Amino acid sequence: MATDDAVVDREEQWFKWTTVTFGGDDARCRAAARAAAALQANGADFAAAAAAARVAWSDDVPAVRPPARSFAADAHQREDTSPLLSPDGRWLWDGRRWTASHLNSPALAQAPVQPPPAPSQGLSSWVGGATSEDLFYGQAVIVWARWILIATGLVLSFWVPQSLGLLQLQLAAIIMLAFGNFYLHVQLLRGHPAIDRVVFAASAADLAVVTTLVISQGGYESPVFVFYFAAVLGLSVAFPPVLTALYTSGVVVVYGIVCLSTADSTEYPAVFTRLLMIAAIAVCGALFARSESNRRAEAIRVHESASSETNLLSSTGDRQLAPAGVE
Amino acid sequence: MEHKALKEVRSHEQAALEDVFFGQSVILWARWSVILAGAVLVLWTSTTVAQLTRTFPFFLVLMAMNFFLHGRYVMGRPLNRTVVIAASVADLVLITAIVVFWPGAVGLNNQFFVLYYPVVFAFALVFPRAIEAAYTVIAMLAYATACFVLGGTALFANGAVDLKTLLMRLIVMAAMGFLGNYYFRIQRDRLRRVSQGTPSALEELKARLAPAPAPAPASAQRRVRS
Repeated sequence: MATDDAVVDREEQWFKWTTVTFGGDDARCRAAARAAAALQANGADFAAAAAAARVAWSDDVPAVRPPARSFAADAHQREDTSPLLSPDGRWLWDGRRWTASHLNSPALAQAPVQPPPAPSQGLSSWVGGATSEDLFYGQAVIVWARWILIATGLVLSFWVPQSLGLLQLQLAAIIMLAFGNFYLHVQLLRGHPAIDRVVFAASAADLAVVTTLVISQGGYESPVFVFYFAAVLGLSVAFPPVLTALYTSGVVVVYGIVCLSTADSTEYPAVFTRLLMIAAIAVCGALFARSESNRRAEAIRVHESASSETNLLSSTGDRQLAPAGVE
Repeated sequence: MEHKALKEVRSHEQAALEDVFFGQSVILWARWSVILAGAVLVLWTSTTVAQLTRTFPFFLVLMAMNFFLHGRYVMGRPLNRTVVIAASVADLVLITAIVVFWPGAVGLNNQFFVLYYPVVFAFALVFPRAIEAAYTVIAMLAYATACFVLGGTALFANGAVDLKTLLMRLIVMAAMGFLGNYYFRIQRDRLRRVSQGTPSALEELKARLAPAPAPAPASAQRRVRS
């Protein structure tokens, strides 16, 4: 009975939270609160419960909320009056409402939740088929950097083309990049970010295309080298520091060799400046990404300590305490 | 017991101040790269004592300024956003001066325009969109003006090839500002969500797009507790 009261109290707290956070009619908020409370009673943390509430409220996907009432109504029509288990095995229908299955029976306790895969770090990202969260967010920057490269290259290649062969080469490279980028962008929009190594390979292709264009236009004299900056910017904020260093070193070495073999010795200071600034972009991007990662880690720590403090207060008898994040 | 309400710990103003504090290191390192490049270039390309003594003091001043700013940052007492913006504008002035006054090659022919890129990028990682956009536009205007004033009608000769080159450089400069600030806003959103304990954008997207569970057969639904 005490467990029932706790579930009801928690549901009321979540109802307030969903009303404040999402707004809308009471029925949607109630459904969201019910899903979140049940999930939290099942051992889920605040973030997972909030996600469940959001999904239930939006009423788009019933993946993580308790089964709909229609399923319960069907259950009543059955001859067997024993408790009913939801298809995913995590919810029990006791005739009045859905409760988390493991609250009443250790035998039906859910398997321990596996921690999310660690974000990819370093060269191991190449061999795994994983998609890391940092890369997901950085990938958006890479995709937009590539669209800028494509659009600019497309417009400028028609502006005083130097020769037919060069124009053909430019257009072929730009079209290839456009198709690849379209695929990556669609994956992002569909919530299926490409696996890490595909993104790494795409960035390598960017650098290869820019290098090809630079070489085809005379090396040092080619104005296209500025696109290295956009490409390096994208990868510096998205990739792990080791890979950023690797890619940037590759660019500096390859472009340095191209310039040194095509430029006059009086131009070496300019070559030095270009290479140094490419490296500076990479350092700034990686530095900022690392700084933000540290800030997020600190924010998580602060939030978790605040949440645990709240739970401690709640367990001492204050049952009306709102969930974390609720005013 | 008094009810405590938990919400994001930081106010909007505090968050903006934190952005300046943490982002300031990026600006400092970008400036160090410009100083290093400038100092090496001056030492490398000077042909007379007079030329060296005339140009090197500019970098010494910039170096002293960055030592001061970096020292304050390391001591945990970074300067406020007004000073940071003023120092960043000083960077633009110096780089534009290099483009305009560098002996031998000025304007579009000056190859040291690349110094703008890390400065604009670093600034975009620290300040909100309106300020960043203004700064990027100022940088573009400064460089374009220098090229037009020093290049004149020559920019439009030869089918405007030089104009094409200038446009390419300006577009990449704008891209530095846009992409940097785009990433900055992504990071702000991630930090805000973490601070509030709400799911990340990726989690939300995955939850929204997750396939609905397939209906289970009736026999499976009627599993009874042991």
